[in-house]
Amino acid sequence: MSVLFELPDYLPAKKIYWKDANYTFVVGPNGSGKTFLLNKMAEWAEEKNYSYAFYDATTSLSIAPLLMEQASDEDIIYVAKMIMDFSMDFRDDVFNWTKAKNGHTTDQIGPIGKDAKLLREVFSMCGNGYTRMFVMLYFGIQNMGNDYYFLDMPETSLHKHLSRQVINILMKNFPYTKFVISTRSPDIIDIGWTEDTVIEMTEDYVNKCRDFKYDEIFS
Amino acid sequence: MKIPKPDTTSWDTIQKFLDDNIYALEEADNVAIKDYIIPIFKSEATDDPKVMIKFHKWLDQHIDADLRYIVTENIPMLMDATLNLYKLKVILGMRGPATEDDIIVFTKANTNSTVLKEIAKHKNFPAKAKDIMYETHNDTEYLSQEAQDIFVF
Repeated sequence: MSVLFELPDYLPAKKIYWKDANYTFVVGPNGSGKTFLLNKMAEWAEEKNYSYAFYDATTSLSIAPLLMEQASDEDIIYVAKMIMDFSMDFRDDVFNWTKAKNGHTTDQIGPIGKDAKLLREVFSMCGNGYTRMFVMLYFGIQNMGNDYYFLDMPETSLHKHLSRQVINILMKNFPYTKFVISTRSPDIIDIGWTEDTVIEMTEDYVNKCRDFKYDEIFS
Repeated sequence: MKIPKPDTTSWDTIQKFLDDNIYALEEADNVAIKDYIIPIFKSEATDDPKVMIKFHKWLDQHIDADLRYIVTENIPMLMDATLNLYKLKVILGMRGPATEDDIIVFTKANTNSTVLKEIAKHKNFPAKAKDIMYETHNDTEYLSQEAQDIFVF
C-alpha cells in the first residue's frame, strides 16, 4: 500500500510518498515535521477505519501516574516482563531496588517479577526512562492487535542500551501491529532490518520512502 | 493423558479452561500443547480479534508460549476449520490491516513461504491469492474444488 501526504509549504519536504511497511521510521532534524507527519498518518488511519494507538514522548511523563493507577496488577507484571525479557539492566535494577528497599532474601528475580505491588513501586519510583517505557508498553497492551502503533520519539530519556532494544521489544510483543516511529536516534534503527522503510524529512519535493541508508541519514 | 475439551463459548470460559490447565500447559511440550491450543484457535469465539488477542496475551504472559508458532506447526489440523481474515493474518504473521487485498499483496511477495504454501490450500484463502500460488507452483491443490474436479475429470 502506498499513500501520498501533502505537507505545508513551511516544511522542507512538501510531499511524502509513504510505502507502507511493517516498520516505518521517520527521521529528520528538529522542525522538519516528523510529528506533523505522524499526526497526518494517524488521521489517515482514522479515515480508513484502521485501529491504531499513538505514543507521544512529550506527554508520557505527565500521564504516567494516572496510567499506573489504572493499570491492573496483571498489566504491571506483563509490562515488567516485556522489559525484563530484553534488558538485563532493568532486571538488575528491579532486583537491587527491591532488595535495598524491602530486604528481599531471595536470589531469584522470578518471584519479584510476579509481585505486582513491588513492581508498581519500582515503576512509580524509577527514573524517566523506565516511566516512559512503561507508558509506551502499557499503551501497547491496551491496544494490542491494533493495525498501527505510531510512536513519536520513543527513545526520549532512554539509555542507549534500552533504546537499542525498543524495536525488539515492540516487535516481539505486538506481532500483529505495524509501527511508524519518528526518531532522531541511530540506536532505534537497527541496520539489519529488512522489513522497514525510512522517510527522511529533508528533501525538497517528492520524498519517496527508500531503502535504509544509515550513513546518509545520520551523518 | 486425556486432554479435556475446552468450553469455547466465550473468552471467560476459555480463560477458565486455560487457568484450570495452567500446570499441564506449562509442562506440555511442543507436541502436546497443540491439543490444548488448536481447538481454541479453531473456535468461533476467537473469530473476534479482541478474543484472539486476549488468548495470545494469556499464552505469552502465563506460559511464554508463542501462539503463531504452535498454529503454524499444526496447519493440517486447521484445514477443516473456518478461518476468517484475522485468523489468516495471525497464521501468516502479517502486521497491520488484513483485507483480502492485503493478503493478495502478501502472497505475491511471499510465494515461497512454507507456511503460505500450506495455508493457501485452505478453503477460506482468498481465491485471487490461490491463483497466484497456482501460477507459481503449478499445484492444482490451490484451485477451487470445482476447478480441481475438472482437472481430475
